[in-house]
Amino acid sequence: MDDHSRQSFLNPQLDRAMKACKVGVIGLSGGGSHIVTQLAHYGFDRYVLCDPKTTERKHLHRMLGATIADAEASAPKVEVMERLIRGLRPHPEIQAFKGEWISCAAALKDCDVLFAAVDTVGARRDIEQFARKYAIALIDVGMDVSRANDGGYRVAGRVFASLPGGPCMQCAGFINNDMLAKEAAAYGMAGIRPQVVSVNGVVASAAVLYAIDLLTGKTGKVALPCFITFDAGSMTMGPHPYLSVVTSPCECFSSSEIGDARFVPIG
Amino acid sequence: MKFKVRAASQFLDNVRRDLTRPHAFAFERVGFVYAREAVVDGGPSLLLPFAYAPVADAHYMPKEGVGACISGDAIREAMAFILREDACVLHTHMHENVGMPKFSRVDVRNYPGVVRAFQNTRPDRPHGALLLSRDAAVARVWPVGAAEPVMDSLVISVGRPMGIFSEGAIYG
Amino acid sequence: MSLPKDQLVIIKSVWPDAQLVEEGGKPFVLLASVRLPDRCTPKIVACLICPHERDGYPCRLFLSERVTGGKPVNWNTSTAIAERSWQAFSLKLSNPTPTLYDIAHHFLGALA
Repeated sequence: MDDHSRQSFLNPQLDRAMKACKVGVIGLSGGGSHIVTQLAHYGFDRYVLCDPKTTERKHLHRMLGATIADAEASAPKVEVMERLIRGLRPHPEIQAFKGEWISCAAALKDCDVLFAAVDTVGARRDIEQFARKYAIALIDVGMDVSRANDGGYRVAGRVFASLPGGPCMQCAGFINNDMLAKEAAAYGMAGIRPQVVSVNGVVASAAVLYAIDLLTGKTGKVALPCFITFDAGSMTMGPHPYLSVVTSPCECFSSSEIGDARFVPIG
Repeated sequence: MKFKVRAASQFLDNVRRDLTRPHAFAFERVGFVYAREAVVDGGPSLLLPFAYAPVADAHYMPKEGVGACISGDAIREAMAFILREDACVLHTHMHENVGMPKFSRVDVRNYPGVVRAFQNTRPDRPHGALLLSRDAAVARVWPVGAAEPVMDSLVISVGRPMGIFSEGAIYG
Repeated sequence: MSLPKDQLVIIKSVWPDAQLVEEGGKPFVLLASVRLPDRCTPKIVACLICPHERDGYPCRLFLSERVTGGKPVNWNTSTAIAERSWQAFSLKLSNPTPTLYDIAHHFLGALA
């Protein structure tokens, strides 16, 4: 028997919503493992999980739920996350795929809310296009470490909520063709991608809160920014400045692009 | 076979706005929501609305005892659309209450004939009916070749807030 | 889907199983089964002609798998189009307005 009495103020129907709503999580390491953990604690019961990788020692500093034994056994990350959910939920429905997200596209289509915790601009572009095609609410998380002017590091996280009809990542200036071109030109030279477990935790928490807000309407008519940044240096979270120039409604995706790709024989 | 109708809340709100326009004599308006069907692995069949067409004013006919009666021409326009666009169609109207809408006895009696016309036109696609309220929605969908609808279809309104609805239940 | 008919006729004459694909409002041409020279692995791949700008390239050819055994190329893109994963290597054509056949011919020529 679930006891969610301490979160019942959110919405009396949240429990039922969490049973009906299918959530997908793409990428199960730094950001994704936090998201899965929180979703399971909240009480979500229907999951599609995907990640191509197995657990290694280097993941233990950021992947919630992973153990030394998982790293030594090279346990697939999807199995670690499935075990974590089953430890918190009595009867979850989990579709776990060890592979690239597109390999489980046919399962991901059924998700109503999709979380993406991926590393590349191209993957973000592809996942957002996928989400728009199937009218899925997409919540993307990520973090960056860059050199600051004072020689130190600037650690920042961000959450982007892409809803059908709302501003997309291109509208908001989060991704653009130059970034995609640069990424393609620099392919294979990405080096290590720094991750900080607590920054991942902050942005993952914001992403899950966003999803809970979608399901409960708790914040009512207060406009939530779709693009949120967290600056670890100043410990502040707020709307991304790019939002001030967002054009809405989105002109990048049209309703005619809905659904599976269409194949037409020539001639 | 289960169905999930998932649409942007903006799309459904636009349909609501159209359906609440007054008509010269009909008590309610009717429209057609056109959807693409997507194949899902291990889940319900997904119907994704992509277009809406209101029934033109001239296609309403006076009739006692019903909210709206539409002509064969209105149905034929919808048939032409699904044939051309390889689409599914949902006969759509609205009850102006808040909360879950309920299909009326007249709805339940009339839908099979309308859906049969769509099945004859596009037998390879599911078709059905969508009923909106001010803040919720329910659908009945007839699978390919079926004489009876599937009763527990989900309707997902994706936006802020999201709505997850099936006949008799509101989630979220 | 708007691609020049005369170009599609040529594509169809070379690859009879060619299909038009519409994804994200943009047209592609799918060649479901393209045979590569014997030295290549795999020997048969699916190809997707992308006649419009993508990832900073004015046009691209996507392949179902990365090919080994052919000429050295810089595989620099993994992407998802039409519910399927695709691979591409870096190549910019000198012709600013290549036909669909030009794209397939030059990219496949650069590969094997």
